[in-house]
Amino acid sequence: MEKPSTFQVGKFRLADMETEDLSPRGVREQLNTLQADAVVAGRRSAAPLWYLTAQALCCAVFVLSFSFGRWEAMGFASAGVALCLLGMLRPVITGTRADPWAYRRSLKVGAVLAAFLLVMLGAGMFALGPGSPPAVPAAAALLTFGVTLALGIRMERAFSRSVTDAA
Amino acid sequence: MTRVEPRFDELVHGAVRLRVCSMLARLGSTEFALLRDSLKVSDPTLSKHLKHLEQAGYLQLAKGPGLAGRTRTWAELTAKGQAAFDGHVAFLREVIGLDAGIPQPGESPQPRPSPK
Repeated sequence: MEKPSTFQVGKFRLADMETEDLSPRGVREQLNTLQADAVVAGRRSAAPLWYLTAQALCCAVFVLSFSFGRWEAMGFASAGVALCLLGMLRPVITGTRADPWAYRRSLKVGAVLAAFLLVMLGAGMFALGPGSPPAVPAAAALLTFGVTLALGIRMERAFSRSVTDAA
Repeated sequence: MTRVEPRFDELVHGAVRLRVCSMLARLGSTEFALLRDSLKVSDPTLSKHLKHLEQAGYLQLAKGPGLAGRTRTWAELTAKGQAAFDGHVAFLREVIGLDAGIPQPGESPQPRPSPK
């Protein structure tokens, strides 16, 4: 059998059969394709808007529950279970187990979101109750929903950028 | 920037397999349908390439939950596959004169310094 001829690519010596698209131009095209795929990967790994809205709604219901009186446990439990379910379903919805909490950029935004929710929880524990004027828990819930949604969207964008930029 | 030894890998070198490895390196465990839709290849084509990579020990295939109770196939690069992919990308970058390091998130690729 005839021995394949070899080909020099930089400091590498390869057999002809391996080199069909290893010219600098061909390699550049391959790397450009990978970069285009990276942008697609970043976009596809982010959770959809309805998911983030559902998360924000759960957090708002949780804060609102402080004003439910004897039904507050029901409110806490429902919101908590729904949030857990959303977390479990995320890989099924996005099709990947890539996680925003695992990337520095999105983790920073997530930390701000977590701090905000802790503040709202504290406000709920000490400032909200069944006797509160209705406008107060409503405003707290609305604020929780708005900020959670906004930071959630920001977190997903940071996550997408991190996935696109990762090697 | 992490310096990786450039190493041509014939299995990773195929156009579709290279893109599959790239997606999995970025996303971790990923569903078959997401790979297929993102890379715009057919089911049989993707299945064939995933099988080749699995047989070489470069990735693991597993059945997992999908929507509406359906079972989906999930693919994930093994450490061997990740190393092969990193080495091959470093090789490609070396071919076009870029530094063979793998840029960390946020870094841009560095051109290779010219010899003095």
